[in-house]
Amino acid sequence: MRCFIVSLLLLFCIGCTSNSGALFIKKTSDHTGIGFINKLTYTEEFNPYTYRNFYNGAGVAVGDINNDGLLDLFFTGNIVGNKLYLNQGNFKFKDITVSAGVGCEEVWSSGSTFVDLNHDGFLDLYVCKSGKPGGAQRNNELFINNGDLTFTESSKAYGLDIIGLSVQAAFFDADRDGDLDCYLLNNSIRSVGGYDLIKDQRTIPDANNNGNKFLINDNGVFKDNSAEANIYSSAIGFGLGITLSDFNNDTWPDLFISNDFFERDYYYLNNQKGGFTEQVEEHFTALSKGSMGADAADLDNDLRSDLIVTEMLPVSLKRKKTKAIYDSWDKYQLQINNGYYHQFPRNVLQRNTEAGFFEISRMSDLAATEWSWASLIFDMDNDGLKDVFISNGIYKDLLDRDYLNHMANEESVRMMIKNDDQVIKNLIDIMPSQAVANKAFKNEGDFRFTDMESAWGFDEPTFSNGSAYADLDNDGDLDLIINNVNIPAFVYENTLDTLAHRSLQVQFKSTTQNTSLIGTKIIAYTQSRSPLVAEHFPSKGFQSSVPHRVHLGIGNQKRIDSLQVIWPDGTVETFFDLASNKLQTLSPSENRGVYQPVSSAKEKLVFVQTKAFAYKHNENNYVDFNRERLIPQMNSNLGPALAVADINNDGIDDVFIGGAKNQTAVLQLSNSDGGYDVVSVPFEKTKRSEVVDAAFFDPDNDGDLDLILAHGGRAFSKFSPLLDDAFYENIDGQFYHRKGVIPSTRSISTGAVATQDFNLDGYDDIFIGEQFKEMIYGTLGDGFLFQSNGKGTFIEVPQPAFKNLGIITDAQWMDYNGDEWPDLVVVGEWMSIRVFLNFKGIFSEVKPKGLEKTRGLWNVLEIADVDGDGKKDLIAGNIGENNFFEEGMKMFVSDFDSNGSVEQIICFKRGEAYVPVLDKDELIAQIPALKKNMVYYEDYGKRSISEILGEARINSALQMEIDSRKTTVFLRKDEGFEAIAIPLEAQYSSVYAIQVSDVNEDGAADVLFGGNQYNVKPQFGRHDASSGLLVLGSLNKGMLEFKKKIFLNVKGQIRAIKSLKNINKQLYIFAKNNEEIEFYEKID
Amino acid sequence: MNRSYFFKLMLLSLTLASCAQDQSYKEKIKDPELVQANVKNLTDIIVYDIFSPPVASRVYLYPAIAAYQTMQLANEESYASLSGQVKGLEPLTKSTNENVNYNIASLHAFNQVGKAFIFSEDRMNAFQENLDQQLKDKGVPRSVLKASKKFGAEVAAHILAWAKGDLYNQTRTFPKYTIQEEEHYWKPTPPDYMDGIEPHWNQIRTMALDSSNQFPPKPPLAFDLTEGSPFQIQLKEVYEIGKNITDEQLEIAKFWDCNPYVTHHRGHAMFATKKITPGGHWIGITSIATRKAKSDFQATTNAYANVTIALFDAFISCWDEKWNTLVVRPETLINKHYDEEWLPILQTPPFPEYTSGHSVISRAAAITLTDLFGDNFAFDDTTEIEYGLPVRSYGSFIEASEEAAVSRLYGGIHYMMAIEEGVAQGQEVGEHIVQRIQTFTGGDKELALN
Repeated sequence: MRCFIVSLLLLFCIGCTSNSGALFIKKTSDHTGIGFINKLTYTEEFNPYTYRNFYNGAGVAVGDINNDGLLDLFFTGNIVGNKLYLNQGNFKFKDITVSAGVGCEEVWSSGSTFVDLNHDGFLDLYVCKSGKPGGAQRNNELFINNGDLTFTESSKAYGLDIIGLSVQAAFFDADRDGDLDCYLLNNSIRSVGGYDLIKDQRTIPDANNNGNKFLINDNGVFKDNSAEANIYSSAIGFGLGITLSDFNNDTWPDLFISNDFFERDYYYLNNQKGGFTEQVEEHFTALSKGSMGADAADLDNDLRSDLIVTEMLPVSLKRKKTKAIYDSWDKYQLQINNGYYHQFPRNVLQRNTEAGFFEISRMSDLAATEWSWASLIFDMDNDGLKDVFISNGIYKDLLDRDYLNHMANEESVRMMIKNDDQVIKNLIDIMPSQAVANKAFKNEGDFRFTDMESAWGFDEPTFSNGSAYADLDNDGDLDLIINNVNIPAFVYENTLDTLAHRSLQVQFKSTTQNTSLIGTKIIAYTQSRSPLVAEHFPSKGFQSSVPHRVHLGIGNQKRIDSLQVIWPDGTVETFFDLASNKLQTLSPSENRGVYQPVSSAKEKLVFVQTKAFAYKHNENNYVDFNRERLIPQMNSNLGPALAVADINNDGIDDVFIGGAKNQTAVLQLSNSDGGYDVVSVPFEKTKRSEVVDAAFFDPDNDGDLDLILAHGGRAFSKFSPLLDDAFYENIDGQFYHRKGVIPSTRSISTGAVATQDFNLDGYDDIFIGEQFKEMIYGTLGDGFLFQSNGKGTFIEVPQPAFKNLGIITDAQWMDYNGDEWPDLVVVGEWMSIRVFLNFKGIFSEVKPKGLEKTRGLWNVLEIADVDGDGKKDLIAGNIGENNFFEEGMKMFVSDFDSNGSVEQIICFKRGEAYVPVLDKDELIAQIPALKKNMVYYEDYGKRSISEILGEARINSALQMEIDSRKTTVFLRKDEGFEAIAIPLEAQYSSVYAIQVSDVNEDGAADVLFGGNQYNVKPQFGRHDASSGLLVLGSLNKGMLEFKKKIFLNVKGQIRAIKSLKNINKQLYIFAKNNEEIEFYEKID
Repeated sequence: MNRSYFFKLMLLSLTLASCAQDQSYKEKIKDPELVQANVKNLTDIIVYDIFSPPVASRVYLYPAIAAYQTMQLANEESYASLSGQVKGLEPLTKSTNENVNYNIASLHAFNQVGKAFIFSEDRMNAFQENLDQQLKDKGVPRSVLKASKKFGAEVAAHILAWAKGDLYNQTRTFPKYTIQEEEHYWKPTPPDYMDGIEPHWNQIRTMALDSSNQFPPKPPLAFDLTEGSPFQIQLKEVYEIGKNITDEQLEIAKFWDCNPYVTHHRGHAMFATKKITPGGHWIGITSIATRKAKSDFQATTNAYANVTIALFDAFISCWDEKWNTLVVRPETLINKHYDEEWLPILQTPPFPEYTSGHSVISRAAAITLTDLFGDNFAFDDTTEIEYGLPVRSYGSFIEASEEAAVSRLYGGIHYMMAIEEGVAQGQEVGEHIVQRIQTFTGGDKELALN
């Protein structure tokens, strides 16, 4: 009944201040009685230069300390004391800090959490301490709840009186012995910098015992068990977030530790033996670099825990260019080589799947949210999809680059050389300060989010840090409490109409030592939607903790049909027919069973790895950025190429594999045992070239298959004869290199080869597509048609239509107009899908319907009749949506400074203007004269490319544009083409390989996609969120649909996928750049 | 009084004042402090804008030559044109406009050329406006100022057209250095792991050297980490000195740091300190020497031209060796093999180790200065005072250059071999320059002006 009354009261909007109409309304402190401000004043001695975490701010803990059903609030203070507020209902709070004795005055408090450690049914309070050494009560404190709104500090008795730079603690039953253990996030006092790329630091415990700690509860006394539990406690663990979840669905609690600065994050899987196994590199492909707070929850209702870790990347281009510093390619390589893994300057959204975590923050548009402290994942609008809140702001812009290079550099800094300590305060005084808004993202499903800004009431600029959600008025929706630097703490009321948007809230009671059953997982089943999962781990976000309750939004459902509860001991119990909008209290009964994990994979895995032959591709070490420093990603890792055909006519497919520069290609010929014999000697002739494409064909119509190797890549001079494509003639099963049979007037870095008898004379001919004209990225490559004379040589047939096509990456023949004469389809980067009709040997371009807006970054094209209508369709692999590229982007190509080298400047479209993606230093290094008008980063941040280079130079540049980033299946219709929807997972990464095949033999074509591109500058981040994807076609009333998908488990950069006929079985071969080739076969 | 009467009175007094100063301004603009102020301003802007040491040597060079060539036109009896002495420089002809004052034109040419190379043009503009005002205050007639500036601008254009052919712009887009795995090769260094600076500087047109590798030093010691090998002994020496540095060594290291851009990290907070470059330090010493020797306008201008040429060629010579030998910095090896937390006293600059730039350029500059001012020219080096460092005193330029060289060992950024061979390289470059560049021809100084 209470919630109903409260909802009615809401109509009168009591105590709301601003933004009426928004979902969240900030309550005034006059109304709430909460006047807490985390006031931070720097001094000469104590400031962000002398104390690393000065502006990290403080947090919020929420818990019902007097068991009156109303959640009470505890704010930590850094320089100021903490505050405890008793909830008196109706958003009225009473400050009882002094009588409770939890102020911790004169010492820096950081994270805090309520937890019942003496199992008397009253929540105790653990407060972490940080800041400068010394002072009274510098140790972390444990306030035992006396049950009468007073507390007794007892940390020593529990072994929790730890002194250090503590950030937060999380209590949970790690070893299932029934009591609560503790992970304490503790930072070493060691300064950052200088030693940051030294190998093997992680495994050395901090000499002063100031590292992270895993403490086990030994009859009420906590003992450091870090080493035994395999927890890193080194000096380089600069952790800012503890995130607990059962990530691998084995019912045991796992840990994710997000580390700031250079150290990578830790992913600890519970080993079910009281310890953990750290496996971040096995399960993640990309991490956030300066990782801050985090949260884990199921974002897509597949019953797997997804993870969002925040970082510091600004939202706007201007702030990106003035307040972010990016690692160079060389430094990034050094980090990887020294064990710091793939870390990138952005938030990460890790989608948890059966094939590992996929980082899709860029696709979900959550990658940049400013200097962010934490994510909180909770269902703000009770629609059954959990939303994302991110707290933002740093009181001083520590990374402002103009400040760094110019402002901090005048007299004051000169003085600092003499005396390092006398002028720091002056330095900080002039450091810029800019408040930014917090962010709330509505979950739209399928990992799409909408930034709700003012609609949800979060448009106020602020310096927010720790935050927590809680239903403060027990009306069924979650309110929000935020601790700020130098701004009064925020209490936001969620004004959702909870009669229409209902929820399930559950608390747990137990007579064990874990009285609130931390670690419990619930799975709610209702009639109309897929099951929903929530976990009970109070410590989360940043330096904060939420109530000992779990919450699930369930839309308009009045009741929960059944609730599966997995208790912390791993047993399971189901409760039926629970009312919504009511706080349910559940306790374990005798009817508990053993939990049987349900497979959440909607389709079972169809592939198993198998063996046929071994081949390791060895990419040569070449750094494109050293020659063309403005391009965002490399193009020198495009191999290996595969060509499949039955060469020896034994009914088993044979495989040609092209090598990288300085690697001999091989032909794997099937033998009578079902195995393969290697043929490599003939191909040594051309081993110094890089094979990027290959095809078997019959240009002499002698019935056997000859071979054309497309030679390309980047690591050659534009005059190099090693770029010449190679023709190998098959004579009685032996291959012979025929030099000079393909005429060449200049060297061509080939991107694609396509063979076909274009003039219907019985001899197969060759189309060659040029990728890097004159070895420059962004020039327009030509297409070349070489006609076979039937006697082993070729003549060029000039085709004006093939001039200046673009950065060609693939080409395929198809009879588009049904006149028997083969037509040609060409794709490439920064170009549209282009179709050339063959009029009896003369080609001219047509613009088919459905391909109008197809300027993309295409890597691969496949042609097959996927919908079985007898007409060939196009399947084209694009860069996907999980990257920094945008539709509407342009690339301007010209020698802008007339010094003989071409610049490629890629720009975002902002309004009508084009703004370079480049960091200022990169552009200035290429064209130093530009610094004249842009001494400051501020100057650069606000300028368009026309303002930087001048309208005239921009107008005369070659311009290319992108309309589409999506990998797309285009069905051939009576007129032109029509794109058909495919699962969004196909857009998680760049696609470089496509194979169409009815893998599950259901009569509908399926498509295998593979890709990834790792050689991307770290500020943009590599494309790595794919491990191969099988998209399953199905027929719905005769119409083809691509609705289902299966994640494969082929890690790496897939460059070719081919279906391969072996004895009595179909194999799938996956060729990966710089790795071993892999084989898979279908299982039934 | 009415307004027009007041106006006339003002005009009259102004006219009187300018008449009175008509003849005295010529003496006032012989003040060599005008030259010193020009150079000091350029140094300040170089520090502000942040240039790497070799690039800074280029920013000093062309303005100094522009100033010299202009001055020389009015002093042909005492000074010889650099045209024909440095590569590719075409001669200038005197202006036909009799109003041109060559000192003013020289000052203006210096600033105009400087402005083309620095970035913060507003700072240069402010300085020039101030200079113009000073000249007006000294009584320089408007017509003289105008004609002189016009001629100065013509000289500047002439010099800039010449500078354009030095391959600087082209080398901006030459390939970056590709990091090589083998341990003996140079790798980027902490804390910022910056890309290697100017790997193609040896392609920049030299002034007096025949080529960038005219004076190749001895090859570096063979890379060998075996205990007791010559290389290992020198590596260990850097490590040991760093650990047990004396106050005197520490002071020397810091005094000659001359790193234009040093970043300091405190967690996420960063700040950078900026200082003059090694070349800038020797420009500072040139200023001290010319003042101490009471050099006149012409001699001061001459000294800067000679020193900047020596510095410029010395950097090219040194950079040729650095990017050919690609020797790894001691910090990289010490952190890996001896002590992962060892930090050099000075921040390791971002380019290969062998030879030491400071050793090469300091010796070349010292030889040039010795040629101009003689042996045993004792001086107090006050250059670094404004960067918070003390004064150090030297009995000769060579002594100062010796200390600059060895400071790199104390600073933990060079092996002894790079210092010894760097000094030898600088000696050869310096001797070559003083032999090839002959500017002062010893005419009658009294006749030089007017």
